[in-house]
Amino acid sequence: MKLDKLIFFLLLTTSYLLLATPAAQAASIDLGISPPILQIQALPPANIQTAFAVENGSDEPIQATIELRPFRANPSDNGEVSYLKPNDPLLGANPTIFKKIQVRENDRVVTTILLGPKQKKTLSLHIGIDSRESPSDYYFSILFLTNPQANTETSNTTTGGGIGLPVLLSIGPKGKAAASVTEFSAPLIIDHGPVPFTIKVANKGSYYVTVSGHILIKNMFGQLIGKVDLLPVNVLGQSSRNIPDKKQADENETNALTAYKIEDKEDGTQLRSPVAVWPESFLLGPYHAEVIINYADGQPPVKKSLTFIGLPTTVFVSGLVILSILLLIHRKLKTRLRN
Amino acid sequence: MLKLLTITFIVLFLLAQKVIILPSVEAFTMSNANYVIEMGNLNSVAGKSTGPNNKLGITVGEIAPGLYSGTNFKVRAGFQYISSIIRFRFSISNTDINFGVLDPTSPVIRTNILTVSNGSAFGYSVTATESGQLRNPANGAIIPDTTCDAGNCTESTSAAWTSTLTFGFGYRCDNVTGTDCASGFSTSTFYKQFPDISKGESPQAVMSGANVGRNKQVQISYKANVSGTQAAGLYSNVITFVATPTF
Repeated sequence: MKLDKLIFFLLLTTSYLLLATPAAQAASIDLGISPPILQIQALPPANIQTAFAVENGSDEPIQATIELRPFRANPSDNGEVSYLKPNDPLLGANPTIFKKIQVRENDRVVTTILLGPKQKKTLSLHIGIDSRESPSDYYFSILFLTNPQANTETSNTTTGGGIGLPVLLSIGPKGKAAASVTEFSAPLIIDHGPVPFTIKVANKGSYYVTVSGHILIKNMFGQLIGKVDLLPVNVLGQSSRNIPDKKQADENETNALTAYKIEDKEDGTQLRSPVAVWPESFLLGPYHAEVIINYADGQPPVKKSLTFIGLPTTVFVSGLVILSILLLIHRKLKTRLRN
Repeated sequence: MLKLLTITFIVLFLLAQKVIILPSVEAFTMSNANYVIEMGNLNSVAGKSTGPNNKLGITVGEIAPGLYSGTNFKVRAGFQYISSIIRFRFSISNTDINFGVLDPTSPVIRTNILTVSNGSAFGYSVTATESGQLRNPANGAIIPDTTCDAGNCTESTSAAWTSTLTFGFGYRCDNVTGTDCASGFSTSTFYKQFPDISKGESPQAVMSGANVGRNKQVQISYKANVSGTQAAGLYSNVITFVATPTF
């Protein structure tokens, strides 16, 4: 009898433990970086040092390799990076510039980093520029890449993750900046707002520029009735960029309208370009819009203008229908009164 | 009486096991609580920007980006016009995509979730590459990247893959929160290849966003299908996702 009870007790305990044990969690990666960009302007000679942080947000330790990877502006002109392939020639005057760039942890040069669960580490970027360094821009990311090993025990795909900190390094003295508005467009006839403006700025110089500006909108009487502030953005040397309005970058701006211009590409994919939005809803008659872009201190702003027409066809058609009905009722009443 | 004692003992024993041995759910929730604290006004970096002749203490992080300078240089950290305290963050929910046993003409689909928070940067992109095609290291046999039903999908162009007689390995992206999947996946049967870095193919964006936001999620579906003539064995490769803020 006692033995029965003991067996029952052991079976119950074992089954409880088996059933109640939580399932094993699959490995995950969670990396954070701060700040999200470093823009460095230097004149030789300079010994640049600046701090940034990388964080492991997961519950498991992460070992990451640190790489410097050059990029150029993505052809989508929306500020995304396009990493160069390993054999691509490095952009910029000095092909060996990366030898002068180091990532350090507590003043020790590191090429890998071990982050414990939820650990955040402060690292520093060191760039030594000697007096003979030629003027040039260099665009690269500091990449933190996990090193997954292919699992050969099952048929599987192992995923690795990485996070990049873009760095825009500009070594002067810089030449004269040159930029232009290559596209400023809106629908010619528009039924109602908001009005999307496509603004593309081309940087013809060899150095990146930070552009800012606004759109001024006037009605048919020449009165200024709208102003759209544009988001200040970086335009890399010899590239273009579409510019959205400032409100779209404000997480707390509840009235912000996120908008894209969608273009079909030849390969069947779609290109989404940010646009600036004027959030006016009722439009009537011709409007004149002018975009004004500042791109360098001491340089006059570049401008471009366009005209669009507010034609509220929905309002007109609805008005005509209501007017027709009223006329019809009026005629019928008139006929009845005559009879 | 003895019966009652035995039952009481068992119940107490099980309760003790529950409390002492098994990990509690609350611990996990508490780690989530850390996440909430991180959203507050805590600095993520404290450091010094220095030149030969001066030193400047800086604080970089969720509070304020800034302009720091030393001899002959200026560093602008972060975007001055974006006031968000959310740092740029990227996560992958599951790094081990196990296909199990691949039976001929029975496609296997496995998924994981990519999450991006980009409150501190206006836009981002997540690019993907594969180390090579799914390969059996024992004999060198491969499961090729899919070309989809009509033989026309590539690493940049998507196409329908529904036939069980179309073999290979590919992926698709579905929005979970937000609309950040790369284009080409609006039809639920469309797939692409991963860019093969061993063939010199360029990384391709699988996910991108052109505004600020937090916890934007997409689901990546990995699909593998083999023919009856596929050599038996274990096939594997490595996919690398890299998230980068826009400049």
